[in-house]
Amino acid sequence: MACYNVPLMPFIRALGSLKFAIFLIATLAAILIISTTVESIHGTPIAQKVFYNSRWFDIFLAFIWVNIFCSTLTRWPFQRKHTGFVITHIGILTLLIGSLLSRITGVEGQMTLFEEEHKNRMPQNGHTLSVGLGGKKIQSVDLNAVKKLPREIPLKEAHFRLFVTQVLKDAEEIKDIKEGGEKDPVNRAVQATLSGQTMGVHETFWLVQNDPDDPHAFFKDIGPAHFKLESNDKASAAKLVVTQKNTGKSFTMPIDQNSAAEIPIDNSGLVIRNLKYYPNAKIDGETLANSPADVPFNPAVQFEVRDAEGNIEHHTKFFIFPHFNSLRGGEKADLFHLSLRLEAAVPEGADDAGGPSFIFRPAADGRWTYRILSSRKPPQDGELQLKKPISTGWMDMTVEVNQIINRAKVSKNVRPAGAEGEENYAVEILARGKDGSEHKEWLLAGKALQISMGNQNYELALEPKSLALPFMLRLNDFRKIDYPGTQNPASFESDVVLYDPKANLTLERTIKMNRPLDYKGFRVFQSSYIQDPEAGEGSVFTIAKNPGILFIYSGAVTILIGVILLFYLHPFFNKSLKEPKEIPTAHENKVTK
Amino acid sequence: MTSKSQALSVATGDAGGEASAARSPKNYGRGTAEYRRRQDPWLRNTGGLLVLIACFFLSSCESQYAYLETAKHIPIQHNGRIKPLDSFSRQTLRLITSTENWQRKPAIAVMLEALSDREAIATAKWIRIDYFELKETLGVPKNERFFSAVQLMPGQAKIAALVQSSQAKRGKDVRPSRLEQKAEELYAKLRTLEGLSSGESIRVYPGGSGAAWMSPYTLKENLSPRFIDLVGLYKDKSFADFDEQTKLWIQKIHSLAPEANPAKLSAEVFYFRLHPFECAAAAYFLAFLLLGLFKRRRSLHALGLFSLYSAIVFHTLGIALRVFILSRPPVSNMYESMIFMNWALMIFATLFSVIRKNAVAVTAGALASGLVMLYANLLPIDSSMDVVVAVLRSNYWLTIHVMTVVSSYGAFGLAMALGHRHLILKTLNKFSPAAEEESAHLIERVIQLGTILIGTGTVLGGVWANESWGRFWGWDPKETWALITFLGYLIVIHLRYTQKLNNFGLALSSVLGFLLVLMTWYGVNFVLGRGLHSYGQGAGGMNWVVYYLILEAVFLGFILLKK
Repeated sequence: MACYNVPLMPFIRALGSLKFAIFLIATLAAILIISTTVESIHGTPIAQKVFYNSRWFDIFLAFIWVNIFCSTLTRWPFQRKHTGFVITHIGILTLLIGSLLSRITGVEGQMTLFEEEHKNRMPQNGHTLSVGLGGKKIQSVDLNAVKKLPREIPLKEAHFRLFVTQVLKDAEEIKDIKEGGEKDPVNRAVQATLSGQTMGVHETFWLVQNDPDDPHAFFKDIGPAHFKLESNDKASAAKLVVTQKNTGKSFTMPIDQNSAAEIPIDNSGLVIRNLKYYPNAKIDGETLANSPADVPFNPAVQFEVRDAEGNIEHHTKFFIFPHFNSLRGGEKADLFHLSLRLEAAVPEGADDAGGPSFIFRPAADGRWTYRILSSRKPPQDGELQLKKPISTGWMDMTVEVNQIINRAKVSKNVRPAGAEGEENYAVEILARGKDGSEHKEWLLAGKALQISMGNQNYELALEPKSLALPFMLRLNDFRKIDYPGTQNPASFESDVVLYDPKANLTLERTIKMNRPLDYKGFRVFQSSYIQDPEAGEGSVFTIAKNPGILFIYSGAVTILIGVILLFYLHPFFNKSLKEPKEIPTAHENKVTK
Repeated sequence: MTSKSQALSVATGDAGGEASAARSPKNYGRGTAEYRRRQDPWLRNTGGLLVLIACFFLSSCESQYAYLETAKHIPIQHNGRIKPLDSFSRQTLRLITSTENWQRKPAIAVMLEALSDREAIATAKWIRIDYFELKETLGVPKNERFFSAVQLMPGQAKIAALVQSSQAKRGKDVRPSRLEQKAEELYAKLRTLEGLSSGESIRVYPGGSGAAWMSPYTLKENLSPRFIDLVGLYKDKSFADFDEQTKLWIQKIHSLAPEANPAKLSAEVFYFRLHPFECAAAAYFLAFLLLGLFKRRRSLHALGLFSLYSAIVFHTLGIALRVFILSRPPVSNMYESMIFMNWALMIFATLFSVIRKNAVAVTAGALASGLVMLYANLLPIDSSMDVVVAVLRSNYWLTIHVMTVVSSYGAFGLAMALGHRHLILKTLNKFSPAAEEESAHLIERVIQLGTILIGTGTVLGGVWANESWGRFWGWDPKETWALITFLGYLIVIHLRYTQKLNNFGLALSSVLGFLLVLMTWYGVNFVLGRGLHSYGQGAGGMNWVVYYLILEAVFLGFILLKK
């Protein structure tokens, strides 16, 4: 081959040499052997992170590209005998370019749709932290992009500075119970351990009289055994706490009976009326009724809220379901932005299960007692002492009290769950006011948090990242078709409606296994399904956009054509050379020439 | 094993590149007798035909049970498919006892006897347990191999606990312990027996269009004749009536249930009687011996060729029957992929023998093919004809992808066999320079073919993945290993192209390269045990692969020492 006096030629030759090619191929094979072994031992995500999705792997593949490119270049000007070689290598170059294109601009994600549900966003890996003010989103940050901690979240026109101080991928929420100061109200708590050899039980638990987030914290069931922390305070009257979500102002009113009168909520212009209180509510058809004591303790309150213009909201709040939306079903959007809390003290004996029970009985003088109930034996009483195991009489089980607290403060904390936990993101945020006051709190994925700064309430939320799609997808019906006479699925099918608001186009299609729906470069695949007795049926779709696929396909076809020319039609191309002496045989060295 | 038999084959022969007489014109007219023999090999070789016919009949020596022939065709729904009662009986019996000929009776007879005395199902000692530790755990006699369900009753809680912990582990993507796996197997056996003794699994009664079939033991049948009466006739040993009534019953079912295809049912009964793959394996070994040992004896050589062709016919017939019966491509599980792999191997070997006008490829191929078939039947993998998981169903790209990849394994297998042959002949100094060159050239051509096929197949896998879930390449272990294999052979091709690899090195690489194939084909699922391709595969057989690896290591060590 002709030699060129290009200054870079020796360099290009070296990059395109066969030695380098073999080195690269062999190294790639070795890397892949290691990566698959790593995957087998440590799991797919680690292998993806360390190898396939890493920057150095991209660079390595780029070297292969350069090698092939240079080796093709060194054969310029191409002769007939190079046909197969050149076509093959151009094919490989095209295929690699296509892969790169797909890797950079491709999109892939999964969308879960229940029947009758529609979505136009698709979750992506990672989470975003968003900050809202008065229902408006003012800032959102991709957590994956946060590399250094602490990191400030820039907020415009805010009265404080916001930082992310910690990020956890495997967060676990734990309750932190501590002895408060003398000023704190009485709130008793006890930590005990139940252990038994025969059943292999060893469990440590807390009981707290008053946990703002968990009205059930005063009892615990372990297997058939029931543990309860008794309240020696008289059952006080129930209280309703109404908080206005936009201002954060709270209004507390005692409730002890029904009242038709209008009760103003501070000076918000709203009034509460037609209030009904059910100390022990029972759902009777579509209305509430007071039930005799045969159902568990369940206080509830029902009332209307009215503003000056006559708009009305109906609310029902249950004590034991503090997180239930209080708005009556079917009622229009949250008009008055109210958040409600019903506080009630649990009357004695309201929760006795009748089975084996262990009751902790606090006393004002600090001398606690206990009572053990058993279905067969008479009650057994005794004095409670720290670190002294008490035999319960239920098989060989003992109860040991580790800690007694009289003025408990319950706070929540977040810690890493270790390797076993599922992925659960959490961030610790720090808000620093202009006056130097600091507020630190954990925020868990999927949860929202309110912080009041400078008379304004900011809402923080940690949400899975999502991608807006150019269309809306709705699942009408999902069907799982089994092989006759078995539970083994033979096919999954989803009837979907796709709506593109821009084109004002509606498509109705059935997506099946191996039969996706194509729209504007996106493909929607049936990848899994949900059949849940409570949540109903649903489909899990994979939605992907693969822009490099045309390059990949054409590259692959080109390679195949080239290889066939190279292996099987080679003599034909060689024979037509003008100098018959230079006909290389299949084994002749072509590269080093 | 491979190496020894191949050494045998070449010990008597001359240079391996020698063309088979049947195709080489220079051997004509050596002498009249020789000439006549060449002209008319069939006359003398009817012996071969007899051997094959004998093989066929030996495999179906159930003639004393002729009255059961009709009953074999009774349609039954099992594991999501309508199959003949014969097939169901064999599968059930194999599951419980690990053999299809329990106490030297054909499976159908055992099944009918079991149905006529269903109380004996639980008391018969026919549940095979081999695993020592499991017997110990269950507290049953360790020196016995067969147990009855009643005997195992006290250990049921233990089995259930083991199965539960095993399933919990699987849920967490952890491999269960051997004891747990064996307990799962035993649990499946007990469940099967339960289905039999309650009669629940005897779903012979059509349930109407699309619905599941029903069992006459759980639902009163209003057909005439009744299935239970058929079993009664069998019990009373009135076999003539039994045969006649069975015919009526089958007619009735076919008129009620169009989904039961009589041609497919007959084909399945025929398939099981024929044992096409066993016959093919025997004929492959015979062909190898004849072609390898008798190169000078024209008649025996021709007999070898005849045996080879018969083997290919049996092999093809077996695959065709499976495709027809199951209406799906013949590569849906490990067993089928092995059978298809060596079919492709033989097709390529024949092709290369025709092109290169010698029997080298087919001789080495016949041995490799016979061994793969032996392996397929030895490995504890599922050879049953059950339905496949939803994602594997009727997909054009998938079918092409798997068939291309599996045929590339076939090509590499052929290269591996030829590589062994080359190494042995070279070590024994039996090569003429021309023959060595020819052998190396053949190996190179076969490797080229394999590389094209695995490259194409892997890309087609990407096409399928892209069509099915929108991702062309995902670094799944199986595809990654296909790529590693491809890269390995790519190095060989490049080195060969630049004359950096001599003939010995080429033969050695063809043997070593097959280890990569083995890893891709088998190892990814069983050694790495992760990834998308885990479906469609059975479990176990590790020890057999290890034996192969040890033999190969010994062989290569020997060759390299001798060099």
